[in-house]
Amino acid sequence: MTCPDNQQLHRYHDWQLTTEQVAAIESHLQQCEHCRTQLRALRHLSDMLFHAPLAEPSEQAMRRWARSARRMRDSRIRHLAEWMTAAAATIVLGIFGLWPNMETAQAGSLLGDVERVMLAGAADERLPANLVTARLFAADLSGESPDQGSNDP
Amino acid sequence: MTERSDAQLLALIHRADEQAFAELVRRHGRYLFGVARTLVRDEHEAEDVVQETFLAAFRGRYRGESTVRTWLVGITVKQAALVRRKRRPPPPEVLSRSFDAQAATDAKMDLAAMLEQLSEEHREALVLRELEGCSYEEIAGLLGVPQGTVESRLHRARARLREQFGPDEKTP
Repeated sequence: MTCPDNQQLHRYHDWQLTTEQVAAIESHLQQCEHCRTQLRALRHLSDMLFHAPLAEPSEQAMRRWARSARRMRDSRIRHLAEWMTAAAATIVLGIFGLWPNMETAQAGSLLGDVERVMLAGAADERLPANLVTARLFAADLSGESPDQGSNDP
Repeated sequence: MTERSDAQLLALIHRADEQAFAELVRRHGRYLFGVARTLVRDEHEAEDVVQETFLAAFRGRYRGESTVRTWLVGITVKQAALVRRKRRPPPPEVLSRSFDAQAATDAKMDLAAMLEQLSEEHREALVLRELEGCSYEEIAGLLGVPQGTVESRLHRARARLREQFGPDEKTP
Protein backbone atom coordinates (compact mmCIF):
# COMPACT_ATOMS: atom_id res chain seq x y z
CA MET A 1 0.00 0.00 0.00
CA THR A 2 1.53 3.30 -1.11
CA CYS A 3 0.45 6.45 0.73
CA PRO A 4 -0.33 9.54 -1.34
CA ASP A 5 2.26 12.25 -0.89
CA ASN A 6 1.62 15.06 1.53
CA GLN A 7 0.80 17.49 -1.24
CA GLN A 8 -1.93 15.21 -2.54
CA LEU A 9 -3.40 14.98 0.95
CA HIS A 10 -3.45 18.78 1.19
CA ARG A 11 -5.19 18.95 -2.17
CA TYR A 12 -7.78 16.47 -0.94
CA HIS A 13 -8.29 18.49 2.22
CA ASP A 14 -8.64 21.68 0.14
CA TRP A 15 -11.14 20.18 -2.34
CA GLN A 16 -8.73 20.55 -5.23
CA LEU A 17 -8.90 17.04 -6.68
CA THR A 18 -10.98 15.51 -9.45
CA THR A 19 -13.75 13.04 -8.63
CA GLU A 20 -11.51 10.10 -9.62
CA GLN A 21 -8.63 11.34 -7.49
CA VAL A 22 -10.97 11.84 -4.52
CA ALA A 23 -12.25 8.28 -4.89
CA ALA A 24 -8.70 6.93 -4.93
CA ILE A 25 -7.71 8.88 -1.80
CA GLU A 26 -10.85 7.86 0.07
CA SER A 27 -10.29 4.26 -0.79
CA HIS A 28 -6.76 4.58 0.60
CA LEU A 29 -7.92 6.39 3.73
CA GLN A 30 -10.17 3.47 4.64
CA GLN A 31 -7.11 1.30 5.04
CA CYS A 32 -4.43 3.72 6.28
CA GLU A 33 -4.46 5.01 9.85
CA HIS A 34 -1.36 7.15 9.22
CA CYS A 35 -3.05 9.14 6.43
CA ARG A 36 -6.26 9.45 8.46
CA THR A 37 -4.22 10.98 11.28
CA GLN A 38 -2.56 13.40 8.87
CA LEU A 39 -5.91 14.43 7.51
CA ARG A 40 -7.37 14.85 11.00
CA ALA A 41 -4.49 17.16 11.84
CA LEU A 42 -5.15 19.28 8.76
CA ARG A 43 -8.84 19.53 9.60
CA HIS A 44 -8.08 20.42 13.19
CA LEU A 45 -5.82 23.23 12.06
CA SER A 46 -8.30 24.55 9.50
CA ASP A 47 -11.08 24.52 12.10
CA MET A 48 -8.90 26.36 14.56
CA LEU A 49 -8.00 29.06 12.04
CA PHE A 50 -11.53 29.43 10.72
CA HIS A 51 -12.96 29.86 14.22
CA ALA A 52 -10.19 32.02 15.62
CA PRO A 53 -11.57 35.44 16.57
CA LEU A 54 -10.55 38.34 14.38
CA ALA A 55 -9.23 41.63 15.71
CA GLU A 56 -12.03 44.21 16.08
CA PRO A 57 -11.84 47.74 14.70
CA SER A 58 -12.78 50.73 16.82
CA GLU A 59 -16.20 52.33 16.32
CA GLN A 60 -14.36 55.50 15.36
CA ALA A 61 -12.62 53.68 12.49
CA MET A 62 -15.95 52.22 11.32
CA ARG A 63 -17.47 55.71 11.23
CA ARG A 64 -14.46 57.10 9.39
CA TRP A 65 -14.67 54.42 6.69
CA ALA A 66 -18.40 54.98 6.26
CA ARG A 67 -17.78 58.69 5.72
CA SER A 68 -14.99 58.14 3.21
CA ALA A 69 -17.51 57.91 0.34
CA ARG A 70 -17.88 61.68 0.59
CA ARG A 71 -14.12 62.09 0.24
CA MET A 72 -14.19 59.90 -2.82
CA ARG A 73 -17.09 61.84 -4.36
CA ASP A 74 -15.23 65.11 -3.77
CA SER A 75 -12.19 63.66 -5.46
CA ARG A 76 -14.32 62.68 -8.48
CA ILE A 77 -15.75 66.19 -8.68
CA ARG A 78 -12.25 67.61 -8.50
CA HIS A 79 -11.20 65.39 -11.41
CA LEU A 80 -14.27 66.47 -13.35
CA ALA A 81 -13.47 70.12 -12.66
CA GLU A 82 -9.89 69.63 -13.83
CA TRP A 83 -11.06 67.86 -16.95
CA MET A 84 -13.57 70.58 -17.76
CA THR A 85 -10.95 73.28 -17.20
CA ALA A 86 -8.60 71.50 -19.58
CA ALA A 87 -11.43 71.10 -22.12
CA ALA A 88 -12.35 74.78 -21.83
CA ALA A 89 -8.71 75.83 -22.23
CA THR A 90 -8.45 73.69 -25.35
CA ILE A 91 -11.58 75.29 -26.82
CA VAL A 92 -10.36 78.76 -25.94
CA LEU A 93 -6.99 78.04 -27.55
CA GLY A 94 -8.87 76.84 -30.61
CA ILE A 95 -10.96 79.99 -30.76
CA PHE A 96 -8.16 82.48 -30.24
CA GLY A 97 -5.26 80.52 -31.63
CA LEU A 98 -6.60 78.99 -34.83
CA TRP A 99 -8.85 81.89 -35.85
CA PRO A 100 -6.85 85.01 -34.96
CA ASN A 101 -8.98 87.18 -37.21
CA MET A 102 -12.24 86.33 -35.54
CA GLU A 103 -14.30 89.34 -34.51
CA THR A 104 -14.20 90.07 -30.80
CA ALA A 105 -17.99 89.84 -30.65
CA GLN A 106 -17.93 86.35 -32.18
CA ALA A 107 -15.18 85.24 -29.81
CA GLY A 108 -17.10 86.65 -26.85
CA SER A 109 -20.20 84.78 -27.95
CA LEU A 110 -18.29 81.51 -28.22
CA LEU A 111 -16.73 82.09 -24.84
CA GLY A 112 -20.22 82.62 -23.44
CA ASP A 113 -21.22 79.25 -24.88
CA VAL A 114 -18.25 77.56 -23.23
CA GLU A 115 -19.24 79.18 -19.95
CA ARG A 116 -22.84 77.98 -20.24
CA VAL A 117 -21.74 74.41 -21.02
CA MET A 118 -19.44 74.37 -18.04
CA LEU A 119 -21.98 75.82 -15.66
CA ALA A 120 -24.61 73.35 -16.86
CA GLY A 121 -22.32 70.49 -15.83
CA ALA A 122 -21.18 72.09 -12.64
CA ALA A 123 -22.09 70.22 -9.50
CA ASP A 124 -19.57 71.86 -7.32
CA GLU A 125 -18.71 75.39 -6.32
CA ARG A 126 -15.10 74.93 -7.40
CA LEU A 127 -16.06 74.76 -11.07
CA PRO A 128 -16.87 78.43 -11.50
CA ALA A 129 -13.48 79.20 -9.94
CA ASN A 130 -11.84 77.12 -12.64
CA LEU A 131 -14.01 78.83 -15.20
CA VAL A 132 -12.81 82.23 -14.04
CA THR A 133 -9.25 81.02 -14.59
CA ALA A 134 -10.15 79.91 -18.11
CA ARG A 135 -11.85 83.24 -18.84
CA LEU A 136 -8.88 85.25 -17.64
CA PHE A 137 -6.66 83.11 -19.84
CA ALA A 138 -8.98 83.62 -22.81
CA ALA A 139 -9.20 87.33 -22.17
CA ASP A 140 -5.44 87.50 -22.06
CA LEU A 141 -5.21 85.75 -25.42
CA SER A 142 -7.80 87.98 -27.03
CA GLY A 143 -6.20 91.15 -25.70
CA GLU A 144 -9.22 92.05 -23.57
CA SER A 145 -8.75 93.42 -20.11
CA PRO A 146 -9.64 90.75 -17.54
CA ASP A 147 -11.48 93.39 -15.52
CA GLN A 148 -13.63 94.44 -18.46
CA GLY A 149 -17.25 94.61 -17.43
CA SER A 150 -16.38 94.79 -13.78
CA ASN A 151 -18.32 97.25 -11.62
CA ASP A 152 -15.29 97.99 -9.49
CA PRO A 153 -14.03 101.56 -9.72
CA MET B 1 -38.60 45.85 2.26
CA THR B 2 -36.03 43.23 1.25
CA GLU B 3 -32.43 43.85 2.09
CA ARG B 4 -30.18 44.76 -0.83
CA SER B 5 -27.52 42.26 -1.81
CA ASP B 6 -23.86 43.23 -1.69
CA ALA B 7 -23.76 43.34 -5.48
CA GLN B 8 -26.73 45.72 -5.53
CA LEU B 9 -24.99 47.91 -2.98
CA LEU B 10 -21.90 48.06 -5.20
CA ALA B 11 -24.02 49.11 -8.16
CA LEU B 12 -25.46 51.94 -6.06
CA ILE B 13 -22.01 52.89 -4.79
CA HIS B 14 -20.83 53.36 -8.35
CA ARG B 15 -23.62 55.90 -8.71
CA ALA B 16 -22.13 57.72 -5.67
CA ASP B 17 -24.78 56.52 -3.21
CA GLU B 18 -23.25 57.32 0.17
CA GLN B 19 -25.83 55.32 2.13
CA ALA B 20 -25.02 52.20 0.12
CA PHE B 21 -21.34 52.79 0.81
CA ALA B 22 -22.00 53.13 4.55
CA GLU B 23 -24.04 49.91 4.47
CA LEU B 24 -21.22 48.02 2.74
CA VAL B 25 -18.83 49.30 5.42
CA ARG B 26 -21.26 48.20 8.14
CA ARG B 27 -21.50 44.71 6.65
CA HIS B 28 -17.86 44.05 5.92
CA GLY B 29 -15.73 46.61 7.76
CA ARG B 30 -15.19 44.50 10.88
CA TYR B 31 -14.27 41.38 8.96
CA LEU B 32 -11.94 43.22 6.59
CA PHE B 33 -10.25 44.88 9.53
CA GLY B 34 -9.69 41.45 11.11
CA VAL B 35 -8.14 40.22 7.85
CA ALA B 36 -6.05 43.36 7.42
CA ARG B 37 -4.86 43.21 11.02
CA THR B 38 -3.80 39.61 10.44
CA LEU B 39 -1.84 40.61 7.35
CA VAL B 40 -0.13 43.81 8.49
CA ARG B 41 0.11 43.24 12.26
CA ASP B 42 -0.38 46.91 13.10
CA GLU B 43 -3.72 48.40 14.07
CA HIS B 44 -3.24 51.79 12.42
CA GLU B 45 -1.88 50.28 9.23
CA ALA B 46 -4.79 47.83 9.22
CA GLU B 47 -7.23 50.75 9.46
CA ASP B 48 -5.53 52.41 6.50
CA VAL B 49 -5.68 49.17 4.53
CA VAL B 50 -9.44 48.88 5.12
CA GLN B 51 -9.94 52.52 4.17
CA GLU B 52 -8.06 52.00 0.91
CA THR B 53 -9.97 48.76 0.28
CA PHE B 54 -13.32 50.52 0.43
CA LEU B 55 -12.10 53.38 -1.73
CA ALA B 56 -10.74 50.89 -4.26
CA ALA B 57 -14.14 49.17 -4.21
CA PHE B 58 -15.71 52.55 -4.93
CA ARG B 59 -13.44 53.01 -7.95
CA GLY B 60 -13.20 49.39 -9.05
CA ARG B 61 -15.46 47.11 -11.02
CA TYR B 62 -16.94 43.97 -9.45
CA ARG B 63 -17.28 41.30 -12.11
CA GLY B 64 -19.20 38.76 -10.09
CA GLU B 65 -16.51 36.09 -10.33
CA SER B 66 -16.57 35.56 -6.56
CA THR B 67 -18.67 36.78 -3.66
CA VAL B 68 -18.39 40.49 -2.95
CA ARG B 69 -16.72 39.68 0.36
CA THR B 70 -14.03 37.57 -1.33
CA TRP B 71 -13.54 40.34 -3.89
CA LEU B 72 -13.06 42.83 -1.05
CA VAL B 73 -10.66 40.48 0.73
CA GLY B 74 -8.65 40.22 -2.50
CA ILE B 75 -8.37 44.02 -2.53
CA THR B 76 -7.43 44.00 1.15
CA VAL B 77 -4.62 41.51 0.50
CA LYS B 78 -3.26 43.71 -2.29
CA GLN B 79 -3.53 46.88 -0.21
CA ALA B 80 -1.81 45.17 2.71
CA ALA B 81 1.05 44.14 0.42
CA LEU B 82 1.41 47.78 -0.70
CA VAL B 83 1.52 48.97 2.91
CA ARG B 84 4.14 46.37 3.80
CA ARG B 85 6.34 47.38 0.87
CA LYS B 86 6.32 51.01 2.02
CA ARG B 87 6.91 50.13 5.64
CA ARG B 88 10.22 50.24 7.45
CA PRO B 89 11.44 46.95 8.99
CA PRO B 90 9.48 45.96 12.12
CA PRO B 91 11.02 46.80 15.48
CA PRO B 92 13.30 44.02 16.77
CA GLU B 93 11.08 43.13 19.72
CA VAL B 94 8.32 41.95 17.36
CA LEU B 95 10.66 39.54 15.64
CA SER B 96 12.23 38.22 18.81
CA ARG B 97 9.12 37.98 20.96
CA SER B 98 8.90 34.59 22.58
CA PHE B 99 5.88 32.52 21.69
CA ASP B 100 3.99 30.30 24.09
CA ALA B 101 1.67 28.16 21.97
CA GLN B 102 -0.13 26.56 24.91
CA ALA B 103 -0.81 29.90 26.58
CA ALA B 104 -1.94 31.24 23.23
CA THR B 105 -4.41 28.40 22.71
CA ASP B 106 -5.74 28.69 26.25
CA ALA B 107 -6.26 32.43 25.85
CA LYS B 108 -8.27 31.89 22.63
CA MET B 109 -5.92 34.18 20.76
CA ASP B 110 -7.09 35.95 17.66
CA LEU B 111 -6.03 34.99 14.16
CA ALA B 112 -3.51 37.81 13.88
CA ALA B 113 -1.70 36.53 16.95
CA MET B 114 -1.87 32.93 15.77
CA LEU B 115 -0.26 33.75 12.44
CA GLU B 116 2.23 36.22 13.84
CA GLN B 117 5.17 33.85 13.47
CA LEU B 118 4.51 33.22 9.78
CA SER B 119 5.92 35.13 6.84
CA GLU B 120 3.70 37.61 5.02
CA GLU B 121 3.34 35.33 2.00
CA HIS B 122 2.25 32.43 4.18
CA ARG B 123 -0.30 34.56 6.00
CA GLU B 124 -1.81 35.76 2.72
CA ALA B 125 -2.20 32.23 1.39
CA LEU B 126 -3.74 30.95 4.63
CA VAL B 127 -6.21 33.80 4.95
CA LEU B 128 -7.45 33.31 1.39
CA ARG B 129 -7.70 29.55 1.76
CA GLU B 130 -8.88 29.04 5.32
CA LEU B 131 -11.11 32.06 5.77
CA GLU B 132 -12.37 32.67 2.26
CA GLY B 133 -12.20 29.11 0.92
CA CYS B 134 -10.54 30.29 -2.30
CA SER B 135 -9.28 27.59 -4.67
CA TYR B 136 -5.57 27.35 -5.41
CA GLU B 137 -6.28 28.88 -8.81
CA GLU B 138 -8.12 31.85 -7.29
CA ILE B 139 -5.35 32.44 -4.76
CA ALA B 140 -2.73 32.26 -7.50
CA GLY B 141 -4.69 34.84 -9.50
CA LEU B 142 -5.08 37.17 -6.53
CA LEU B 143 -1.46 36.96 -5.46
CA GLY B 144 -0.01 36.88 -8.96
CA VAL B 145 2.04 33.75 -8.36
CA PRO B 146 1.96 30.26 -9.92
CA GLN B 147 -0.42 27.70 -8.45
CA GLY B 148 2.52 25.54 -7.35
CA THR B 149 3.80 28.44 -5.26
CA VAL B 150 0.41 28.71 -3.56
CA GLU B 151 0.46 25.03 -2.69
CA SER B 152 3.97 25.26 -1.38
CA ARG B 153 3.14 28.29 0.77
CA LEU B 154 0.06 26.62 2.22
CA HIS B 155 1.98 23.44 2.89
CA ARG B 156 4.81 25.20 4.70
CA ALA B 157 2.50 27.53 6.62
CA ARG B 158 0.47 24.60 7.89
CA ALA B 159 3.56 22.64 8.81
CA ARG B 160 4.79 25.61 10.83
CA LEU B 161 1.44 26.04 12.56
CA ARG B 162 1.21 22.36 13.36
CA GLU B 163 4.51 22.66 15.15
CA GLN B 164 3.06 25.46 17.25
CA PHE B 165 -0.50 24.30 17.74
CA GLY B 166 -0.16 20.56 17.19
CA PRO B 167 -3.54 18.81 17.10
CA ASP B 168 -4.69 16.79 20.02
CA GLU B 169 -4.21 13.33 18.52
CA LYS B 170 -6.48 11.79 21.14
CA THR B 171 -9.39 13.73 19.72
CA PRO B 172 -11.37 11.41 17.45
